Amino acid sequence: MSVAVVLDAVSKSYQPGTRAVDEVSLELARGQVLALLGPSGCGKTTTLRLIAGLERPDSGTIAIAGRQVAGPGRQVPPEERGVGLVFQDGALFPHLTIGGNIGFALNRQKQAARRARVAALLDLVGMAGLEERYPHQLSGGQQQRVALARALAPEPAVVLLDEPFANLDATLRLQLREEVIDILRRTGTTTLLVTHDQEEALSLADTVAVMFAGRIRQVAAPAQLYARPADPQVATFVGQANLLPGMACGDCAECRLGRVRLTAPMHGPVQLLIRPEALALRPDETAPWRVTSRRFLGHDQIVRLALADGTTIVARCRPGTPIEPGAYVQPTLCEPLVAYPEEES
Amino acid sequence: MSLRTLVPLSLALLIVAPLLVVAAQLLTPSTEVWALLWETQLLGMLASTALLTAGVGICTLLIGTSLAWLISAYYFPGRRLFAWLLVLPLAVPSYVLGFVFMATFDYAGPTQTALRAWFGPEVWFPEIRSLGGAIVVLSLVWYPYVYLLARAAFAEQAAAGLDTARALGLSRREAFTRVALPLARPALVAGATLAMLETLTDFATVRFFNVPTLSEGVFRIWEGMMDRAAATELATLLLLAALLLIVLERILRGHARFTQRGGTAPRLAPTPLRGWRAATATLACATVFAVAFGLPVVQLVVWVVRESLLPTLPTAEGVGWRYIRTTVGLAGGAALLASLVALLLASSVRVEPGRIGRSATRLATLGYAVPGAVVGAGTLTLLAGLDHRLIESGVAGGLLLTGSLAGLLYGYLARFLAITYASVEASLDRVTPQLVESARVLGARPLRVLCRIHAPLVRSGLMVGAVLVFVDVMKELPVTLLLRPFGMDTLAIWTYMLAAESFWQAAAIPALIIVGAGVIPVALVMSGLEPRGTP
Amino acid sequence: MSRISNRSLLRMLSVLFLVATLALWVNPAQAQSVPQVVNIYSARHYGAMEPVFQRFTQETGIEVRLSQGSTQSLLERLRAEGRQTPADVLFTIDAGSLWIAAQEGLLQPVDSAVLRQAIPANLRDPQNRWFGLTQRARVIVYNPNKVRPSELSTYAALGDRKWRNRLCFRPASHIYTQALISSFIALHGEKVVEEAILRPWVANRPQFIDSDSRIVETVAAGGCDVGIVNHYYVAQQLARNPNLPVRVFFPNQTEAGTVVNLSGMGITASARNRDNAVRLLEWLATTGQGADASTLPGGNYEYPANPAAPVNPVTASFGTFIIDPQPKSELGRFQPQAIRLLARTGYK
Repeated sequence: MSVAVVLDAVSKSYQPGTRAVDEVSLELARGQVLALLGPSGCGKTTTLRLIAGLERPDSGTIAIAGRQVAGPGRQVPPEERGVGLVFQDGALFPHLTIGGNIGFALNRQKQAARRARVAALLDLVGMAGLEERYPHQLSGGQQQRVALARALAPEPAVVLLDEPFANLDATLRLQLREEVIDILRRTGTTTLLVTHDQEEALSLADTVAVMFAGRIRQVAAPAQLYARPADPQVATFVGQANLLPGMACGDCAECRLGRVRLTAPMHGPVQLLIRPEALALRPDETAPWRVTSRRFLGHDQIVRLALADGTTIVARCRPGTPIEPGAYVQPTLCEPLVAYPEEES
Repeated sequence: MSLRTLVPLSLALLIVAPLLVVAAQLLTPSTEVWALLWETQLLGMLASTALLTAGVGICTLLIGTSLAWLISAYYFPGRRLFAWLLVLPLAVPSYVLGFVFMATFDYAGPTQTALRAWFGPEVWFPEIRSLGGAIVVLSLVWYPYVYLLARAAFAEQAAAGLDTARALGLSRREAFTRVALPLARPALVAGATLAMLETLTDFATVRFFNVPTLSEGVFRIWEGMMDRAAATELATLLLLAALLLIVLERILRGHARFTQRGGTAPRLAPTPLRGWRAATATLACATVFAVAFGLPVVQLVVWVVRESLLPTLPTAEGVGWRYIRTTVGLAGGAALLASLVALLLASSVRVEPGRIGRSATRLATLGYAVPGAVVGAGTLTLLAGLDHRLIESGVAGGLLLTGSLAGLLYGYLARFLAITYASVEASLDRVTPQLVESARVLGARPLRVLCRIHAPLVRSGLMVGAVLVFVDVMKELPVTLLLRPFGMDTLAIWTYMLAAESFWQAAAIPALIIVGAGVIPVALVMSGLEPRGTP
Repeated sequence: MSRISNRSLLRMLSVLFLVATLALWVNPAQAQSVPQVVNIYSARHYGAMEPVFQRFTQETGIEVRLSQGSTQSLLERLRAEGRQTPADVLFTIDAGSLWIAAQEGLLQPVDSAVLRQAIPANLRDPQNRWFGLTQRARVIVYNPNKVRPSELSTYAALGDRKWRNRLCFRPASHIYTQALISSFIALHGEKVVEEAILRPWVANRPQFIDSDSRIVETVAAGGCDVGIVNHYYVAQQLARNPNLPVRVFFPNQTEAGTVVNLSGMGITASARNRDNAVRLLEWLATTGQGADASTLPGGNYEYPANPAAPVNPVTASFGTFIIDPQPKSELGRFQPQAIRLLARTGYK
């Protein structure tokens, strides 16, 4: 497996003192779909712009397809990097037809070859025959497909997607993102997907890189990331999480839920990560946990529990479980927990 | 400061320099000059300027708002036609309507002659050469500003509010006075302010009507007393008057803003008028259109026909073509220059969005609000001073800038840059950074980005701006009069000179050309404004 | 925001702007220097002169280029341009500004036997720096249906109360008014003019109409009974319609005489086409004098300066009259004083 994109200790700051991108190192294997996940303002879009050549790094190097494109004294302009880019709003050229948009990068090819390629790409994105339309005549989803086709046209070494589904409504978003990833995988395109939506990242990517405040916190496969987040912040960002204080002692820890098993041996005060779906609830009038609210979601339900001292946890359980607010329940765990050392405050 | 900020900044300063020169006179008043000004009816000038401006403001508000409401809220015969016909008076320069009115309605004119023939020699008719006459003429020329902005406001803002008001039980008339008018107030104020600023600029029409305003005074003193210093000092008062109007507009507008929402907002649905009401509405629109546009055009055409029937055609042959060439060349040059500078300034503000650059640009586009006499006097003073320096230092043997083509274009630029700048700004908004970046990433070099992305996207907006400047320069009088080079007379100057000597028939030819050219941008503006596909 | 692409855009625009500016900087009037040409700064209205100059060009091959403007702006321009002026000839519609121009050294003397012979001494500068070419009398025009000529006498008599609301005057901003008042000041002194002429006039509430021909038309229509205009405006109207109810009255015949101004030319101090300019002057003073439309006075119904030339018949029908004999140069001397006096007395 060869490497398509390598970032090595790349930093970029807009204002002195704060680094938008801080010593970021990242590798994208050829054909891989990597999601760069983080809250807005974390530097993920800047990272994408650094790769595309729209920004110049302050330090560090970037290589695309084995060629260094940014580094000390070197800044290859965007048009020579061989990357594809899809923006949130598509950024189609409003004065060009769909065919003109997709063929924009193919200006060196012969007319016939270009037309064939445009037709093939439109077919790929499921919009065959719409060459003569103008962007404003298309729906948002169609525009994004055209934007993708346009980005794929010159067969780039990597396609960069900058929140490409954020502007679409929920149903369309789900449908389109499946289609887009399917297309990217079918064409074997190396892809960097920038998103703030953890569900999107986890469901689409081979690998997810989580970024906070300019730094990459964890790079892992989705399942790994969800089950073994590197720190509490990543844990809460990639999914709903209860963090309970506890005292670890080797393989086990004591906490409000009693004695729990740990995934790795620890000692001293810890924070325990409990995913809501890991909790099983058993009605028990003598138990200390009281049900404070219940939200029915169809495929499951979210139950909020509280102790007398105010500690709350959230559990997710099957919709059939008959639990009413005010009832007392006993939550139990069926798998070992991830623990993080309690930070000194 | 980098070169990139320095170039546009100095360009902006260069353009605002004529205004600064005039403004600087405020700080160094010459008592001698002011004593002279006092003697030459300064108070009278101030009073007639104030009365004229206020009169035009009120009349344009009345005419513009009521016509806009009729067109927006009711159906009546001819409504769709009048909707855009009523904008056409904007194409007639005020001095043209002025001399047509003079010729038609003064004592020796056909109207009063006919009235005397029917009702005897003692029939009463208002004095045309008066403040009232000037107010009527200027209001008929400039009411479309209020009309256009009021229509946009009524159509796009009032729909929701009006429906609510009707639901709350207000009659249509109450809804108008209590909801539509207050909602449209910022737009109305803005329109009337534009009309009043144009009134401040006018010096030719008021001269025909014996109304000694400040603008007229600047020219009377400059020409009559050959006193450039006094004329420039007087121009400072004119500048103050313009600034006062702008400040007043801000205050009257209050915190409200008039924005034009997109096409998704529900539009006001007009109700049909029937019987005499419909007839009255049609008649009102027809009357305003006939007096403000029909009369001058018909009269000019009649004069042109009569002039062309003369055995010798002294003015049209040869000379006429020279004027047309000069005018088209000047207007084209100014339009081109204004477009280029606007592009340069607008794109540089985007690259380096600093506060200094932004304020400099705002200053540079102030010229449009400032009366032409101020821009002209400022430019003249500036160029004369520079020439003086150049001659003293031995660089130039004579006048290099004063009365040069470059000087005149400079004056036009200072006055009209705001027009192209606004158009370029609006169209550059369409060129989002993402568009440019997409093109770059797709392999386009900067030149290709400029040709394939910027140029086509900015072109249409820039064209509209250039056409507006072109026509404004065609009509322009004060700056041209003060700055034109040797032998360079425009159609507007030709018209004015002939009209001032009452050679109305001869003046009709250039006047008709100017009106014809003026219709183009009005049509352009209207084709962009009228929603397509609505009844 | 793409800094790189916008920067390049900016650079290209700057170059474009520079090229365009340089291209436009070239002042065509200064760049061109055709040998057979004469440049005129003219305060006279263009149309009426066109046939004369067309004829001159036909006969001599010298092209005439005119720049038209008000007298004052032409003087201002001549002064500012100094030795660099493109103008060869200054052509004015009053003697006063010619006198001012000569005083300021803007004009040069011309030693020409032709001119000396053609133009009487009282119609030219003693030092031959300017020459009158046509004469225009500032006359009273009246409507014969309303006014008997016996009611008229002098300019000052129009201040009599019986003329209240019956007068039409040209506004103070015009050179004709200023020149008339200047000649009064030269004759009587400022105080007398103010007390005996201007204040009584203004008290009679005249209509101010900024056009001599419109004044004639208004008198004909009955809008006012009496006006003061240049005689040829009446002649023009009568030539077109002989039945028009307007008549000319020559005022001050029992006193100094009717005020007559002249329209004339001087050659600028640093004329580049001096020979052509002299040729033009000589031609206009001889061949160009006459009664028909292809002559300078005839084309405009004025009195020729050359006594040998015939007078247009319409103009001649006004009869002969006594001309105010004071030197025309006096008109210029008192002009600034006249403007201030007009303003002070409330003459519009």
